[in-house]
Amino acid sequence: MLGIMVGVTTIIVIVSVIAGLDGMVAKEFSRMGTRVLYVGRHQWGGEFFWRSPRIGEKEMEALNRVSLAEYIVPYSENWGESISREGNDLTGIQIIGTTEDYHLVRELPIIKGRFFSGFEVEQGSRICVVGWDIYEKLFPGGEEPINEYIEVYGVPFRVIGVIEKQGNLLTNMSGMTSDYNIYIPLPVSTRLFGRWRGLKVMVSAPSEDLVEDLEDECRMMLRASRGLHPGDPDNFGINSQDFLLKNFRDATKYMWAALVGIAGLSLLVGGIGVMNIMLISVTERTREIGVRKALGAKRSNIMVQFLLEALMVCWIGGLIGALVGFFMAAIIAAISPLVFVFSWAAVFLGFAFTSMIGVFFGLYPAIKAARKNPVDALRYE
Amino acid sequence: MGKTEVNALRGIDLTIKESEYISIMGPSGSGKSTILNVLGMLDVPTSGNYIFRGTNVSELSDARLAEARNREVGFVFQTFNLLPRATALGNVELPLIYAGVSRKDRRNRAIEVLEQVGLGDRMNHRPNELSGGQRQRVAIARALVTKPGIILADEPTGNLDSTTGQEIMSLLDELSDKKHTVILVTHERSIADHAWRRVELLDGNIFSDTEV
Repeated sequence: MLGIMVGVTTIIVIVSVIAGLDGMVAKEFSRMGTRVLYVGRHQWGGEFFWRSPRIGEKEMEALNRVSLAEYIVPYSENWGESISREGNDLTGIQIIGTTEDYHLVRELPIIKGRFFSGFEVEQGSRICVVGWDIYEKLFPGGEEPINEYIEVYGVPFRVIGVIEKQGNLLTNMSGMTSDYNIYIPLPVSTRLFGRWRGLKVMVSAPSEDLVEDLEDECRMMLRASRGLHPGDPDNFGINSQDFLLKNFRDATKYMWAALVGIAGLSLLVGGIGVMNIMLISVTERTREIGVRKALGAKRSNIMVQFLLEALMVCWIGGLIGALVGFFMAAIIAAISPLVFVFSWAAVFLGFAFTSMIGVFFGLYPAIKAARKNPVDALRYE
Repeated sequence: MGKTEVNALRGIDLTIKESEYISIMGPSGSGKSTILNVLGMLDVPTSGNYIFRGTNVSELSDARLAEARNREVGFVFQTFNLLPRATALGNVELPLIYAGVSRKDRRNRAIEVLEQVGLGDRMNHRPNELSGGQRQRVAIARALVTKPGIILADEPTGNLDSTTGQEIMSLLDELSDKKHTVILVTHERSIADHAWRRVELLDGNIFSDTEV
C-alpha cells in the first residue's frame, strides 16, 4: 500500500506545484504585456557568442520612424549600483535610465507623485522615480519622499515619484521590474555611465493583432539602418513575451513528463505490492474461500469479493496519499511564492489511476481465489 | 496432489428418503469424505448421477451447482468453519447473502434460527467470544438458515468435549424430529447410533446398510 500512497502523493504534489508555477508565471507574463516587443543586441534563446553592435542613436532614429508603434521607449540598465541618502547606503540597486513613457509600457502604477515628463527628459533634469523598497528603506517611518534628494555617485537627484510595490519573485529574478529599481532620465544616465553598453528599446503595438506587423516593420527599419543585405542574418534581437511563455511551457512539458514517469513508476510498484498482498491474503484465506463456496458462493461472488478488497486497499492508499500530497503542496505554497492551486483534475486523475491499478493488479489474485476447489480448500490448514 | 486418478468410490448406489436420519461410517480411505462431498454438492461424480429431489445435480454447471448447494445443503463441520471477523449474526446471514435475500429479510431469518438454537442473546458476539459448543450451534443455525433439504454434519462433535458433544447431538436429534433430513458422517459409533440408519463404507463400497 505504501507504493500507492507514494505514487498518489507524488502526483498531487507535482501537479499542484506545476499548476501553481504555471499560474504564477502566466500571471507575470500577462503583466509584461503581450503587445510589447523588446529590441536589444541579442535574440533571446539565440547565440550570444558573436558580438553584435550595440543599439545606439542610429537605431533609435530608425525605430522612431516606425509608424505602427504606440510607444517607443529606450532604456539602459545598470546593475549592482549604490545610492544613498543622509548617510544610508543601499547596494544592489538597478539604475534605469529611460524616457517618459517607460512606466506606461511596463504598466508600473505610480503610487506617489509622478513619472518624468518629456520636457524633463529632454532637459536632462536630475530627477528620479524610485521602487517601493527603495522608498521604504531610505524614507523609513513613512517620511514623505517627494522633493527629497537621493544621491547617485555623489550627485543629488530629486525624488518625484514612487512606484507601487511589485514584489514578485519571478519579476525580481528577471529584473524587469523590481522594487529595487530607480529610474532617471536617459540623458542623465548616459552622462553618468557612458554609452558603451548601449540601449534596449521597448516598442509597443496599439493592439495585440498588430504585434507581428510591428515586429516586421521594426526589423525592416533596423536592417536598413545597419545596411544589412538580404540574406544577412539580423545582428540584433526583437523579442516578445510570446517567446518566453512558449519556452516556459516547453519546460513545463518536461516537468509533466517527469511527473508521469515518477508517478507511473511508483504506482506500478504499488500495484505489484497490492497484488502480492492480495495473493498472500488469498492463500491465507483458502479455508474461508472453501467455506464460502460450501455455503453457496459462486466463482463470481468470490472474485468480486477479492477485487473489491484490492480496490479498497488502493483507495485507502490513494486517499492517504492525496491528503499527504495536498498537505505538502500547501506547505510548499506557504513557504514559497508559489500559489496553492487545488486541482480537481489531480484528484480525479489520482482516483482513476488508483482504481485502475486496483482492478488490474487485483484481478489475478481474485481469479485465483475464485478458482479454488472447495473440497481442497476446506481441507487446507 | 499427483495426477494419478484415484477412484475413491467404486460404484455406490444409495437412496436417502426425506426426513431420514442416517449415519455414514467408515475408516479413512473408505470414501467417506468423497461421498460427503458428492452429497453436499461440493463435487460432481466422475461417473454416475446424483438425483436430488428430482433434479440431476451432477449435470449442473458450476454456478447452478453453487445455487443448489446454497439452497438445499446445510453443512455442519467438525472445525465449525465460522468467519472469525463476523458476528454470530453475520455468520448465519452469509448463505442468505449468496441467495440474494434482502437485508431486512436476512436479518429476521438469521435472528429466528439463532433463537431456535438457543443463542438469541449471543447474536452480536464474535466466534472467539463463544465457547466451542456455542460455535457449533451458530454453525447449525447457519446450516438451517436457507431451510435446506439436507443437513450434512461431518464429525460434528469432533472438536467438542463429551458433554458439549451430547448437547449438540441432542440438537441434531431435535432437528430430525422436526422432519429435517439429517446425514451424519462420523467414525464414532456412539455418535452414529443417534441415527436410525447406518451405512458403512469400506474401500469405496457400501459394506452394510442397516436400520438401527
